[in-house]
Formats: sequence, C-alpha cells, structure tokens
Amino acid sequence: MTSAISSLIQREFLRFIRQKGRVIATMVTPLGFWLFLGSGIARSFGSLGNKFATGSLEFFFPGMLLMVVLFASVFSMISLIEDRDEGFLQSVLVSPVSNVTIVMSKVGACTLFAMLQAFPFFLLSIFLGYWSGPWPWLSSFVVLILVSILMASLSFVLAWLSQSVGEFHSWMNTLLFPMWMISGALFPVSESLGWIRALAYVNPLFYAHQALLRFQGFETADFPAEVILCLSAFVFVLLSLLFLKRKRAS
Amino acid sequence: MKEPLLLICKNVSYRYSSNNLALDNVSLELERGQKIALLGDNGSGKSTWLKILSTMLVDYQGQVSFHGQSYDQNLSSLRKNLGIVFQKPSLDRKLTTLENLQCFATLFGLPKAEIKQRIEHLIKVFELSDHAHRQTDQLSGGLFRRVEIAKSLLHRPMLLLMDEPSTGLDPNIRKQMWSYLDIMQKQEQLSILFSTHLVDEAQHCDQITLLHKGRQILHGSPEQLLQRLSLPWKAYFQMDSVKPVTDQLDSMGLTYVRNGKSVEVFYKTFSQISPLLENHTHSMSHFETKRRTIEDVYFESTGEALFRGTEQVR
Repeated sequence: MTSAISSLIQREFLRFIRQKGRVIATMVTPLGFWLFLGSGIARSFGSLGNKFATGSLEFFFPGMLLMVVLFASVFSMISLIEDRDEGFLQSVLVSPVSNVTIVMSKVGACTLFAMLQAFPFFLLSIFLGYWSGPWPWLSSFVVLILVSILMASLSFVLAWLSQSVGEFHSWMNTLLFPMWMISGALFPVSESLGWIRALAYVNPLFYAHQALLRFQGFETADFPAEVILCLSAFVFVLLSLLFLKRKRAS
Repeated sequence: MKEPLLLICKNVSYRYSSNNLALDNVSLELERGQKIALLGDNGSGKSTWLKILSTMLVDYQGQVSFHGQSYDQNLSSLRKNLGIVFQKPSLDRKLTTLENLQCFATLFGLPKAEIKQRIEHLIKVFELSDHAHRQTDQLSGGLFRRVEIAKSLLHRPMLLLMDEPSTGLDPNIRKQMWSYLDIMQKQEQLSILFSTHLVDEAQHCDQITLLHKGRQILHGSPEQLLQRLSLPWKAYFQMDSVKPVTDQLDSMGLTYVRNGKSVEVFYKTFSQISPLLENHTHSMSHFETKRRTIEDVYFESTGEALFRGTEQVR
C-alpha cells in the first residue's frame, strides 16, 4: 500500500513541478497578501485601540500561514477533477488499490504541496523573531499539517461532487474562503458579533488559528484548540473515506 | 482436464437511475485465450456491459463470474486479473510514457524487480522505445493508444477489456494495434473482450455478440452468424434513376435496400438477379456483387444499419 501511495504522490509532484505558473503563483500570492493586508489594515486596527494594533504583520502572520495552507490544499485537489476529466482517475478506481490508498495519496500530496509552500514563510518568521523558541515553531508546523489534512479531505469530497473546475471554485467561494475569513485570520473573533462567534466555534480553522496565535505568544481563549483540530482532521479524513466507499464499488 | 470458463455472464441486466434499461438480459461465455467483440450502434449497451465487467457498475441484475469467482466477491483480487482500456484516454498527460507505466505497475502491486523487466518487455512489443521519455501529451493518437494498451497489460491480466479501442484511429494504425495485441494474446494466452461498431474489427474474433438497444440480438462465431443469412449474396447497382429497377424488384419479390441513387439487392443464386441485368445494364453506372457480411446480419436482425442511413427497406 505504501509504495502505491508514494507512487501516486510522486506523480502529483511531477505534475506540480511541470506546471511552472502554478508553482510561482502559489508562492507569490500569499506573500503579497500578507504584506498588503497586514500593512494596510494596521491603521484601522490602531484606530479601534485594539490590543492587536501594534505589530499587525505579526498578528496577520498565522492567518497568512493558514491561507497559504488552505489555498495550497484546496487548489491541489483540483487535480482530482482533472484526473476525472482526463480519465486517469477511472484507471485508478478499477485498479486493485484500496480506498485508503486513494484518499491518502490525494490528501498526502496536497499536504506535501501545502507544506512546501508554507515552509519559506516559516523560515522567514524565524528571522522576524515571531517565535520564542524551536518548540512553538515546530508545534505550529504540526498544526499546519493538520489544517492541510483537514482541508484536503474536505476538498476531496467537494471536488468529487463538482462536475467541473468552475463548480469547485464556487464551493471555494461559498464555503472554504468564508471558513478562513471567520477563523480569526482577518479580525479577532472574540470581539465580533455573536452569530460570527457561533459560526467560528464550529469552524475547525478557528481552532487552528487560535493554536497558531498561542504558539506565537498571543493571548487566546482557554480551550484545547490543538485537540479539537486534531479530532476535526481525523473526522474529515474519515468522511472522505466513507464518501469514496459509497462512490466506488469495493 | 478442461480449463474452466474464464468469464460467464448470465442474464445480466442494468438500469440507470434515469430508469431506462441499458442492458436487457444479456449472456456470454468466454474461454481463456478467446477474443469476443460486442458489436452494436450507439446506445446498444456495449459500454454499460463493459463497465459492469470492469467493476465500475455493481448494482446490476444477473450473474457474472470470472475464473470461478463471482463478481460479488473480493473485487480487489478480481481487478488484479483485469486489464482495462477505456474509450476515454486515461494516461497522465504531464508524465512521460515510462513514468505512466511505472506508476501503474506500482498500483497493480508488481514487485520492484519485476517492474523494470515488464516495462522493457512491453516497450519492445509495442515499439515504444523511441517514445519512452516523451511526455504523453506529445504523442500521436496511435502512439497514445499503444501506451494505453501497454499500461493495461503491465500486470499480466487474464482478460483485457477494451471499450471502442479503435475510436479516432485510422485503418492502418488500427491494424497495427491489433497486430500488437495478437502478439500479446499468443505470448500470454490473453483473452480479449471489446466493444466496437466496426464490422471489420469484429469479424476476426472467435465470437461476436450483436447488441441493439440494450438487447442481445445474436451471439456466435462469425461463420455461425453469417449462416443465418438466407440470402448470402448482395448485388450493388448504381444509376441515375433507380425507380425502374425497384419496380422490377418489387414485382420479382426480392429484398433490397435503396440508398439515393444506388440499390442493394440480396439473393441466393445469381440467376435470381440476372433478369435485372438483362433489362437495366444500359442505365447502370456501377454494378458489383459481394458476399454479405456481419453488418448485413446486424441489419437483418435489427432492421437498422450500423451507422448508415437507408431510405427504404423491403
């Protein structure tokens, strides 16, 4: 099973590096976003007298990391729709590989790409002095791996349900992007409206953001965000497996 | 001791959710090393049948067994013995020929030591050595199909299932493709079941199943099917005005098909059509006689031609 998973991940990797535009875009977009949004909104936060007023770039850093991982995971899953359109998926489905292999290879590949894209920013953050030591730095990396697994699993189901790349983009706009927006990446959830807080509490990305903020030394609510995130990732992987089991004759 | 049948389909039916019966009570038996063609027009149920056999559709009615194992049982072990070529290309176009073959060899669980050897063998048989390191999106249609077939044979399947393998290929490339498959069939006792709407492709098979609107019209060897024609010959006339000929044919009680400025007449002995020649030779621009083919069997059985429009049938 492991050789089949690694073979499929290797294939995804080859596809990725042979699409130069995709590689460049995924690196440049989050960097620009972080610099523009972090610098631009600094004044707004300042005028509100928010506790996050100072060092907005630092406050936005976890949100930016979340965005890098979210977008990388979700965009990579578009390959599932391409595989289906090009017929490659059909061949995999009638091969003797298990459903676990199919899900793990897709989710694994998406996670790998996401972490590859997040890693330069992670290195950068060390030089910017965002971490108090190696332990919070490493813990944050694990949190991002969990986020990637979670989002890739959710995207797996959505990509399967989508008839086209366009439909998958609609899912991104209506579900995945709002998940990021109310994770706390753009504004402190604790000080927002009640219904937004309620939505945030059922949003696994909120807990990921909380965990990242905490590891970065910000003050956060007192709940086991890492545990909730870990459980959410597990549930989403399980859901994608059950979904595939229903769709594929086995 | 006689080897058990490789594939048995017994009274298989399939209904899509739209409630139309795509396959209606079809059956066939395939022996090891045999080649069977599913011949039919669009919507005849060929692809649905192949989807069932390739384990993509499981909610069918009837019984299907492979090498003594029911299709209801362990699908994973079943899939190890099936090679499948879809109508739609299924190679990764961003990968080279070699990378595609390596990827699929791993998926089918071939041991590492064997992968290299097997790929080398298939590259040799299918004459792909000059294209092994080319990305598959740069290959021509014929080459692409060769890689596709080589990919489906990596794991030495007992049965190769192909859905319209000649789609988009010109006659020479098609002939070449079958010559490669003949080699593999001899070398590995490979059984082949494929769908087609091309009579010339089907008539070289051990058995042919004629399908029409989901129903199995006939099944048998090409000779057996041809024997069903009570009128085994056809004469082809071409002329500016076919009316005088068709009028005479009506009075003679002969079966014919009119298609624009041409008429095809079916007969048993030449003496049946000689009066026509006596009366109309002067107005004919073309005349020839031919032995009727499987296409005619299909036509006689269904009342419809395979991809050919007809104006009038008597």
